[in-house]
Amino acid sequence: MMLERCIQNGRKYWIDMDTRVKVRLKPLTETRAPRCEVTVGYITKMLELDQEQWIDIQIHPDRNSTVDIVVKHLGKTEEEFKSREELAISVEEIKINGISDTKFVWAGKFHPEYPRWEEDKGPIDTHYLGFNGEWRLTISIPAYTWIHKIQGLGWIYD
Amino acid sequence: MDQHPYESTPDNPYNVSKMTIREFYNSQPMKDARMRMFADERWKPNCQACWAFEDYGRVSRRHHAIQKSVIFNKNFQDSFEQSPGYKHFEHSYENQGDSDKLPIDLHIDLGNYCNLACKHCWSGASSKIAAQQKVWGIEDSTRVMGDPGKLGWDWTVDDDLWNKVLTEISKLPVNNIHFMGGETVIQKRFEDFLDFMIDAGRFDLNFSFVSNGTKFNPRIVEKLKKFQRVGIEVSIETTTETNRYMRQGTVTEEVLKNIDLYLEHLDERLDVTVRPALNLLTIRDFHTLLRYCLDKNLLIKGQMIYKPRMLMVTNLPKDIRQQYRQPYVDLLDELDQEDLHDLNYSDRHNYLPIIANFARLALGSIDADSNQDAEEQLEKLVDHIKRWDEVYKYDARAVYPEWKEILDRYGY
Repeated sequence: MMLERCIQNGRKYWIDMDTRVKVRLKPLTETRAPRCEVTVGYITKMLELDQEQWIDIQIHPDRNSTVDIVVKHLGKTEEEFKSREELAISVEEIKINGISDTKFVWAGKFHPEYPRWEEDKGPIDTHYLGFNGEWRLTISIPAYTWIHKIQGLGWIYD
Repeated sequence: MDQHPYESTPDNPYNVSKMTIREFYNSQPMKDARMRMFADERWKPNCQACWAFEDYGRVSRRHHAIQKSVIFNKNFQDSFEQSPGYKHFEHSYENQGDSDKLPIDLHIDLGNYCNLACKHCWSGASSKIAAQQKVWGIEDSTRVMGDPGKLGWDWTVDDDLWNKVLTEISKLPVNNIHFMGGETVIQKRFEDFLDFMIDAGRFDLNFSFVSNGTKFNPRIVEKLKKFQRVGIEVSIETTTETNRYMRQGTVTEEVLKNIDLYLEHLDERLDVTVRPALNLLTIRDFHTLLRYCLDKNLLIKGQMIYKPRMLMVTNLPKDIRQQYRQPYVDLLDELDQEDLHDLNYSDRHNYLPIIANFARLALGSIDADSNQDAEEQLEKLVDHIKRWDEVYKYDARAVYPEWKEILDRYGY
């Protein structure tokens, strides 16, 4: 597309930074479908994860704001922990504005709600959600600039 | 306007001898250039180097440049609209190409003093070529001679002009400076520049420079290491005799040895890159350079030759080009790398996908349709290499036995 037309389009988007986030979640279970809540900025979706699936959320954040991408594993009971059967969620892939990179998933942290018999180790670098709790990735807006930095694409003119 | 706006010839009014860098940055040719880019115009000759890459589906230098404004090849429109530089683009578009920024990224050509006469080069960048063309009585050489007694136009010999430019650069918010020659390492002004910036305490600068790799100066390397980041780009085409044939006057073994010497200084701030100019004299053996890069974990930055046109790969008959295909296919199979377009081409950790991309570029040129004027260009090529091979005592028939029919046809 000619840049002239991009300039015309760009005026509409200068403040409103369209950002599309897709999260690929995989249930890892020997019992029931795990329950989870997926939040991107101000939009939340609840789901029973009966199969691997993409959650697709589009938001319109402001320039220079931050957006939290949160996957919350909910409702795992004490009995389910004790049964020793696997009941977990894996955050497999994050796609931001159509760009996917394994670095995105590893930039997030899991903040477990540790069961009372487990030692509290604080947030952990994993995308395997075996406990209840939330996996959180915070990106800055514009998302492209965040991606540029995470992917190490080099010098940015400012 | 076909004149190169920043060509440092004395007859160009848009020249550091006639205006400041700031004035040049918002001069009419620069404004025109910005407006032509907004219109996505294929502007000859300025845009050809990039289009030559893009026509083979590859990432060009303009793509690398726009990456610095956070514009992605894959999501061009969206990322352009969200670019941190968007307001400046908009200002430029609405003000007939004017820029509200000061230059932060410079490319400096340090005259034409050089010890090689590469077959794709010209008198404005090689004093060896200028001298030989003077012997041959070729007009192009006399145009850039400018000053009688000098082998070509060299703006850096004028002390006043040199000091004026240095002083201005030291006051600009420049972040990155790329040098080309001539041959930078033997050009005294290159070291003068480093000394000036060391004295001015501008250790925040990033430097890159292109060298033909024939000379290694440890004193220069030590000075370079004082700065923020240094990219050493060594011009080499292949690791075989075709490199010597192309880069007349070079000794390939010496260049490879000097690359090893540079590599001894490799660290987080100093990088070494090879920098070929892919053309029909080197396409057969270019894979040897890719293998060399693979072996040494080296980055590669290159260009497709489009000027002089006679050296374009696509002048070669397709049946000959197809004979060169297999080593690139084998290399790509071996590398098994995804075809990535948005990559940091200066990050040495990316050497594998970058090598793969250059193998794809080579294949693209091997598989492309022949130029419509290929025969005319081959005739010019044979005349060109015949003339130079008499000077350097090279034998194209020995180097390119598969070209026998072409060499016979045009009287090599």
